[in-house]
Amino acid sequence: MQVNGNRVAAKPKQQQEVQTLARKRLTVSVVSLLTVFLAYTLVSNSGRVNAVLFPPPQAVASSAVTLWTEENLPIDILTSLWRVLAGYTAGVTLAILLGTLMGWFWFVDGVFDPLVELIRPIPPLAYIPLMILWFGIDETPKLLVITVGCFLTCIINVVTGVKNVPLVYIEAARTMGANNRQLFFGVAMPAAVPYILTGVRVALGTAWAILVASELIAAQRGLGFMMTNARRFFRTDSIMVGIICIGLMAFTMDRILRYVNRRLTSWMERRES
Amino acid sequence: MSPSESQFKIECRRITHTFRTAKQQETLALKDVSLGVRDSEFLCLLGPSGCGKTTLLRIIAGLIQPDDGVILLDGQPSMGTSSDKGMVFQRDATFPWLTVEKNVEYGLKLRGMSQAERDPIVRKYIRMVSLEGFEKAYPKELSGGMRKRVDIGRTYAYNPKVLLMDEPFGSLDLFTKTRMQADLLDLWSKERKTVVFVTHDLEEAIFLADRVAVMSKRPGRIREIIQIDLPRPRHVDLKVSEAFGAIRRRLWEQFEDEFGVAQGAAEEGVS
Repeated sequence: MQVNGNRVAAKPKQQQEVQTLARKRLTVSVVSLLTVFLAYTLVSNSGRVNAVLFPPPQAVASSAVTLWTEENLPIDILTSLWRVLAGYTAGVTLAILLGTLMGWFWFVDGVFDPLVELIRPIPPLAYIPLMILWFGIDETPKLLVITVGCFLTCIINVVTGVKNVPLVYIEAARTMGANNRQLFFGVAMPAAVPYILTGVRVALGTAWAILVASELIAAQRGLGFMMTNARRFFRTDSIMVGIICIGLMAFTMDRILRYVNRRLTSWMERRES
Repeated sequence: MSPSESQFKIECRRITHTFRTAKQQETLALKDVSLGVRDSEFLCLLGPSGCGKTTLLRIIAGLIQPDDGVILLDGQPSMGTSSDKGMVFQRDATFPWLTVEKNVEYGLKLRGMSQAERDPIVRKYIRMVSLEGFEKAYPKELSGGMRKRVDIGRTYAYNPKVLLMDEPFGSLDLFTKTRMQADLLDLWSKERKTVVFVTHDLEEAIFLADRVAVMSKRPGRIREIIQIDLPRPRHVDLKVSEAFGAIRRRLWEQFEDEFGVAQGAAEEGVS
């Protein structure tokens, strides 16, 4: 077929164009980032702003060294990372398990949908005081709040994904003789993967937001605790270190998820490259 | 007549079906429809949209349970979906998360065949629908016509007894459509399955079919069955031949008589 021949020939060229565009975009992004950083450096060193409120980068850097070598910053980082990973993994896993079942079986949906909808509009942070009274101020309440928060943000996407599997795929598989188990695992699940992964990614943001908030309120370790402590002593430089640490970790985890996402949904049609 | 006495490959006996919408409105889609499809026959079900032809096909496939009546396959009642009845849909039904190869393989996997058994069959049907070189491509990388080829190859590959096709070329442009029709006939001549092909396209029906069943206005019945005595193998040139034109005129008169297309365009959808 002629059409096919053209398609094959056109491919490398298209890819090349996409690559050039991606490189251009990266350059623009790097320049944008450097500009903001440079502007902050200039302003904070100019003497026109209060250096105690807006610490210049070199002060933040030296504070980072002190925190790392003398004040257990690594332990704070690991503690926070552990809390996020544990709570997030638990919440997202639960959401995928229950969400797919809710999307597929009307009975499971009927049982759990009202419960989920009842607690979903309430910000998870509102549970913290209750959690502290129930479980004290050790790990349990923090992990639980993160789990619940991630679960709630993720599950809507999972349910929507399974419910929105195009009927024609289900019908096609049925006419080919697929039984219910084969429909669920072979059609509904793969077709819902893009939605599920969106939920998984959105939940990651929730996890970090809740983590910091819960550590600000009650903790003896962790980045949120370190920052609250720094506030008491007016150490804006230490607060900046905390912010940067959280930012870097959240960014790295999001990148990993994005990579996984692209690998798992390479079959999807998309505009973005 | 008991079921086993059916001399047809597929037989619809007195199928009646009513659609009920959420507002309690009822639409009688099919009333007492009986139709027999012979073994290895290519039968086209012809009618304008809304006449119930797709509903009848979906009932044969087992995707809809009719209010009344029975579907027989080889003389045995066959009311649910089964891998004996392969279906090609109007909408794109290739699984976008599977490559061409995996799509064609899907039905065989459902039957529990081993990789070694599947491989030669998959290769054979990918060749038969002219998709060699695209085995590892995902549907998003293919044109609409090529996706239809995947669909047809996938359905042929797991070897259902009969093939049900619901306006499979309805969304294709004229050139692609003509070519797909010729290729389908080619494929069909190699493995003569019983085919029920739903279409609203007069020329398509005449070009493909051994017999054309013209449906009536709603509630749908079979108005008339017309034998198409054009020689096979059929070539695209046939469409401009005199014999073809004569059948086309006869069918058009039927159409005109039943649906009053020329004078009654405004009435469309009212019944």
